Amino acid sequence: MPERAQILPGTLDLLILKAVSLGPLYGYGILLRIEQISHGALLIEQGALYPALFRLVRQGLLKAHWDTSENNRRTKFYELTTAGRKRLRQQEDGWNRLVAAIGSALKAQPEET
Amino acid sequence: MRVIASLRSVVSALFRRSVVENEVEEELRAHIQDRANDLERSGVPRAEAERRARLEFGGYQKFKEEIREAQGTHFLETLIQDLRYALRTLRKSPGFTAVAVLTLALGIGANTAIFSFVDAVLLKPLPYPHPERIVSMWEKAPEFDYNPISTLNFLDWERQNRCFQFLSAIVRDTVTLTGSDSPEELNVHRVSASYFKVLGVDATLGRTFAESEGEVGNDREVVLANRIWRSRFGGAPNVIGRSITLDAKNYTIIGVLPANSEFDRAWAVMWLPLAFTPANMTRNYHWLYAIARLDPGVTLKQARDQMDTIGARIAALYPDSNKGVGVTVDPYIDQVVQPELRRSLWVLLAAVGAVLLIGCANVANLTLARGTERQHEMAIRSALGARRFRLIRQLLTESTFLGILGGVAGLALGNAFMHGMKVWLPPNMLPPQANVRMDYGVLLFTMIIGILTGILFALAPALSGTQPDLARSLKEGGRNTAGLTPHRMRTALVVAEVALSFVLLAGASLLIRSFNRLASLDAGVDTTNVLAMDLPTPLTEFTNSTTLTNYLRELTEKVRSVPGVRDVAITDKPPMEGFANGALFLIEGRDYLPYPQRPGCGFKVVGPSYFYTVGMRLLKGRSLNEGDVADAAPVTVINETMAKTYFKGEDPIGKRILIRQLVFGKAERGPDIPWQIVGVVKDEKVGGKVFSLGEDIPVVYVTFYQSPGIRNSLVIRAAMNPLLLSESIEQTIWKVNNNQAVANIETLEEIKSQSVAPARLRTALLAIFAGIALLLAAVGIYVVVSYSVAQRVHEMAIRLALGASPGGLLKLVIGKAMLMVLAGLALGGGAALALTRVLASLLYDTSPTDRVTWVAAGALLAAVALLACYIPARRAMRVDPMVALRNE
Repeated sequence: MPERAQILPGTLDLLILKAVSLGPLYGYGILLRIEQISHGALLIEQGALYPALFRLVRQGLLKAHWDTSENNRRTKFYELTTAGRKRLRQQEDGWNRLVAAIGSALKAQPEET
Repeated sequence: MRVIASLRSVVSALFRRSVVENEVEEELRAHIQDRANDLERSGVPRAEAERRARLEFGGYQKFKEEIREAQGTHFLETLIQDLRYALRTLRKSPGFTAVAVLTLALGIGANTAIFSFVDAVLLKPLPYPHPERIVSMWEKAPEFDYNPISTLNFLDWERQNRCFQFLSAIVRDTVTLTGSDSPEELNVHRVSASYFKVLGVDATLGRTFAESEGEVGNDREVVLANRIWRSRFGGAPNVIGRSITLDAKNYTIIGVLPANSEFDRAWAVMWLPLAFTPANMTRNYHWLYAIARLDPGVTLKQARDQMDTIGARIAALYPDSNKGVGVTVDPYIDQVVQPELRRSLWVLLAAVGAVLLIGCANVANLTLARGTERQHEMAIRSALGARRFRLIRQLLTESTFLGILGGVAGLALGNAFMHGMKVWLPPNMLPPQANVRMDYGVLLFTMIIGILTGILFALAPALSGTQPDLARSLKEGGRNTAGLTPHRMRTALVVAEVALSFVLLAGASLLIRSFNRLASLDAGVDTTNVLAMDLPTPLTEFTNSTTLTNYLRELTEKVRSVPGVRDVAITDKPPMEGFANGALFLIEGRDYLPYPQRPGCGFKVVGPSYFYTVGMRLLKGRSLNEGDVADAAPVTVINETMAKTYFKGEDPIGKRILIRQLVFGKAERGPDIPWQIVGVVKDEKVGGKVFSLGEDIPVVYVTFYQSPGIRNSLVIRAAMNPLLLSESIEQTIWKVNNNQAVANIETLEEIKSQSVAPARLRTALLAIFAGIALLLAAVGIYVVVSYSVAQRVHEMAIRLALGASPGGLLKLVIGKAMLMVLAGLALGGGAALALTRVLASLLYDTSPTDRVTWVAAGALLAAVALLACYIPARRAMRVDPMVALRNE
């Protein structure tokens, strides 16, 4: 098992949006998808997923509906709304800029300062 | 989009709360199951897999709580939560709740009831289309702006004006309905054909008058009020076209007016066309009232200017009858709602408003006292993270809830009160146009004041109560030395209460004093055992004055012989009911004045035995007697006011007064008749609709032989309760003439009581409200003093232990409380001094600054206040220092 990183506060929403952007998912599926796309590198407190999901629904970024899952159980599926898609794009851009900025800052050599 | 989504989630959170809870549960459990299944698949034994899945999930309850928060709490949800809490708290202190709700219900109920009258009489427009275009019109005489109009003047106005769409003359009259049962006297209005067009009202059945029906010969038609149609004609639709006999003439019913309209509450029950006969065509007999509808686009000012011009033109053409006479044009509403009624209603509304404010102050005081007790609770709640706004909101919810409870109870109380007042109200005191009832407007008013009072009485306590010194409150564990802010607020509230009740008390005392003077007024007649009844005699039956006077003399003699009757007399108006005719007069030998400029007096036509029958004292000369008949020299007896006003320092006996003759059977005045004064009587109070009972009016009395008229009443002095005789008197009258209607049988006592009825009503109401205010203020003082005594038990104990005497403590507590009362009295005195001035026009023979009244009101308030603080203060004396201090 690779060493796992605690996710930064505020990034869970972004991860959820990203996970769901690839297709409607139910709660546990979102967790698995995040593990899969992050190659198991992120440590998520599983229960914390749900308050975040409800918050995103309330903000209108996700919509939820009940449906039957592949194993024939009633399951609640989440998918992106248009607003959610827009928000995801904004956050991806913001994140990438942040990462680039932090990255270049951290790469700086002592003599360069 | 977001708004809708968030709204949707809120709505589902609210209304599908348990469903949502279950779904959350289902979702979380499914997650844990899925995880456990995955773990099991990777080789972990089932039990261990489930344990690990739960562990990895984390704090299950915590996340559920977070989910609930993430779903958002909504205004409504918080409200329901607060209401539940409020309900619980209020149930836990039933005493407080009961007192608060009762106080508010009393205040709100009184407001609702009075407001329903204010709304119907003063706020609602008259129930006609474009009521602002309806005006009432009068002749503007030199001394009197509201004189009835003469026929020819009216016809000139009608012809010459270019500002009225419709103009209608009105005459109040009575007719005798015969043909079924016993003859009945009915009140009617004779009106121009355009009358209903002025008002813009149509018949519900049949029609109203057509233009041609204002002409003689076409005028035998009648429009019925709905109530008489139902009561007398059984509500039959085929009544239209039916013929009835009024004053021995046949009339055809052509229409029925709308049900429950102002016509059902009006004085008249039938409307007849007013057709002017040649005999009516005069300029010196003033008998018409008029209303008119302004042309669209014409303003009141324009109409007044135009009528001024017309009035001046008529005055120039006919100076003998019209010199100095103009035209009064007033909005109709000003005639419908008389200033006295307007003022009374506003005064009463202000009074109940004050009662409600006092009630609010009381409940605020109770809430403040409770607030101090609840400081501990508030401190704990805010320590647990409740924000101040949230606490205030909680307290306001609680009080608004109380306010609404009070509003609902008040609505019931107010409804009962309103119906009670409507029953109690003297007839014709309210304008018929006012339909007093609980409608949506009144309901809205009640609920708004309920909610407002809730907020009002709680705002101050909520603001001060939620600002706790956390550390201190918790440390002291609920034992409080009363905080400064709430204490000051309590004092201020009591001062305000006392001030307000003093204003009310002073106002009520003034009205009571005025009413007592009015009621104990010497009416100038002996009212015991005297009966009055109207004897309308239609012109159609008595076309000649000699037949009429002979008939009246015969009736008088027959009634005099009824056992139990002491004396009986004809009069054209019973005492205290005003008079049938006024007259302009000239004293022979003095400067000539053109007719309209002459002074006026009451002109009363009576039987010679009138003075003796009603018990008026002759001061000088002789009384009228049976010798003063038609062909004898015309004589008059004048009243004391006439003698004092116009014969100052002279002997009036033998002087002659010139008054134009009232021509029998015609709306006309004949030549001047020189009435020789033969006697002076002490005044009887005239009263009636126009004059208050308190006014002294010059009156001349003449015999009905010398000035016969068709409008007569009988006054009868009996040896016993005169109402017992009324039946045998009626039978006697009908033996002489079985078509003679007998109406309005009343004792003089009843007439007197009715003439002061409006004054009695407003006095009683204001006294009741002042009483409630006084009671509430007393309760307020009691609450504050007993609370402060309870708070200061510890201090009292120390004082006692250090040697203070119980009497000294009593003085200390009472002294402090009475200081508040005195401050309230001073403040209220100032306010009352300014406010009672509006009462001036409602007072009889009483100055608004009447010292006795003010001192009495102040003393009463102080005495009640003293009692209210003495009872709790006595408790301070009884403090046992050992018990109080041991509780340390």
